[in-house]
Amino acid sequence: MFGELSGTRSSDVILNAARALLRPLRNFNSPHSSGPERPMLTAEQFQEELTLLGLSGKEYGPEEYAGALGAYLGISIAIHSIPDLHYPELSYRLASSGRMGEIRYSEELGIAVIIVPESLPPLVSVLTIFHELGHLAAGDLLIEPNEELDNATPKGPETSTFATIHIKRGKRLARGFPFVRENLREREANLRASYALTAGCLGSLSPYALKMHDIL
Amino acid sequence: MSVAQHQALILAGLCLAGSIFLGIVTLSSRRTWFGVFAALNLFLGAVLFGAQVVFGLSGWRSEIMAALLSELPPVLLISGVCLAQAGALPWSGTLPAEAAAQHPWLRATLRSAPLFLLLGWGLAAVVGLAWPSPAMQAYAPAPQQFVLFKWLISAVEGFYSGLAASGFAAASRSSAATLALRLKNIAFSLALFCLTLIAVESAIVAGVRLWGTDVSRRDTVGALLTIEVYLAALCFVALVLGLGLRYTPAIAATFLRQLHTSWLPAQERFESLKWRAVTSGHARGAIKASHHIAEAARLRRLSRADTEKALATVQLIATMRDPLV
Repeated sequence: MFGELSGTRSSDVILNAARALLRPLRNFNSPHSSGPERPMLTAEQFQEELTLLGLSGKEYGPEEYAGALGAYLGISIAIHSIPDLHYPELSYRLASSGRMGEIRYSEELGIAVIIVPESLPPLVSVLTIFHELGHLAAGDLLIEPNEELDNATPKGPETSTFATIHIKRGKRLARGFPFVRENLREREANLRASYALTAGCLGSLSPYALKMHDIL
Repeated sequence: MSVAQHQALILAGLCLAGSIFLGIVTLSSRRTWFGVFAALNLFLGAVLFGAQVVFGLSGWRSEIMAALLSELPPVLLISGVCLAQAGALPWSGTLPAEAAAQHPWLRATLRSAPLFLLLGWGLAAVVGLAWPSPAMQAYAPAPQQFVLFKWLISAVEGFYSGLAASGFAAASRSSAATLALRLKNIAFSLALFCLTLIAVESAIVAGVRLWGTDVSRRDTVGALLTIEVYLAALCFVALVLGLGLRYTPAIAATFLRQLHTSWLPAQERFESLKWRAVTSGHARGAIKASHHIAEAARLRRLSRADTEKALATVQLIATMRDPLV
C-alpha cells in the first residue's frame, strides 16, 4: 500500500514537474502566465494607490475617482445610470448575471463604460461604481478568458496568499497582478470599493492619509 | 587635552543632553519607536565621544577607529529615517512617505540607504586601516588617504540625509497635513538638513587639511569646527522638537478596519435580496407599477422630485405588503 502510494506520489511529482517545465513553452505566445502569489489588498496599499492618483487626503466621489483613474491609465471612463424602472429587462439581465453593475472596457479605443441601475439606493450605487472601478484599477479587465488558469486548483481557506496572473500588456494602478480566481477578484473589488468609499468620505481625516505625513 | 578631544568633549556633552531629553520625552506618553531609537543612538554617540576624551588616542590606527565609531550613530540614524520614509520598517507601519509613494525610484533609493551607508562606512574602514592617517588631529596636515577616508563616509551620509530632509520638507508643504504635522515635518527636515551640512563641513575640513596652508588651515578648520558644534546642537533641538510634536488622528485606523470588513456582508446581503426579488417575480408588480407611474408623471408633467416621491411610495407599499425577509 505504501509502495503504491509512494509510487503514485512519485509519478504525480514527475508529472507536475514536467507540466511546470512545459508551462513556459505553452505560454510562450500567451499574454498571461502565472504571477507571484499575493494576499488581498490592504487599506495601506490602497492609500498608496490614492497617492498615485493625487487623491490622498482629499474628499472625492465616484466621478472624481473615475476621472483620476482614467487620467492615470490614459483612458476615458464614463458612468451611466440606466433608468431600470422604465426598462425592467435590464434588471432581469443584471439579475441573471448576478451583478449590481456592469463595466465594459475596450483597450484599443481606450474607453471604459460603467452601467449601474438607477433604482439602487445611493450608498449601494456608489459602492457598485467603486467596485467596477476597482476591477479597472486592479487590471482584472486585462485578463483574457483562459480555461487553464480559471480552473487552477484553489488553495485551502487557511492560506493568506493567492495565485495571480502575470499580465504583460496594458496599464493598471495596482502594484500586484490580478488574482487567478474570479471570486477572489470580486472580493478584492468589494474591498477596494469599501476603502474608496471611506477614504473619499473622510478626506484629510483619513488616518491612512495622515500616517503618510507622520512617518517618525 | 588636544583639540580633537576638546571637540569630542563638546559633542559628547551635546549627545548626552540630547539623549537625556529624548529619554524624558520617550518615557512620557509621547513614546514612539523613533524616539527610543534616537535616544539610544545619541547615548551611543555620547559614550563613543566620551571614550575618546577619557582614554585618549595613541597611534593613527586608534584615531581611525575612533573616527569610524563616532560615525556609527549618524549612519544608524539616517538609515532608520530613510527606511521609515520608504515604508520598509514593519514596526513603524508599512505606509511610506507621500513623496516616496508617488515616485517608485525615490522609494527604492531610500530603501537602499542602509546598504550604501554601511558600504561607505566599510570602505572607509578598509582605506583608513590599510593606510592610517591622523584622523583626530584637527589642525594637523593630512595625507590624501585621509581625504578619501573622510569623503567616502561624508558623501553617502550627506546624500541620504539630504534626501530624507527633502522628503520631510515635501511633507511639510502638503495641504493634506494638519498644522502640527507640518511643524513636525519642518523640525525633522531641519534636523536632517543639519546632518547634511555637517557631512559637507566634514568633507571640507578634510580638504582644507590636505590642501590648505598652515595659517589658512588653522583659521578655516577652527571656524568649521565651531559651525559643526552649532549644527549638532540645532540638529538635536530640532529632533527633540519633532518628537515632542505628536498628532493623534480623529479616527482610529482600527475602527476603519472593522468598518471596511463589516459592511461587505451587508452589501452582499442586499445584493442577494435585490436579485431574489427580481428573479423570483416578487418585484415584477412593483416594476410594472413604477413604469406606469413614471409614464403618468411624464404625461402630467410632474417635477422630478414629485415623480421620485411617487415611485418611492409604490416601492414602499410593495415592500410592506410582500416583504422578502
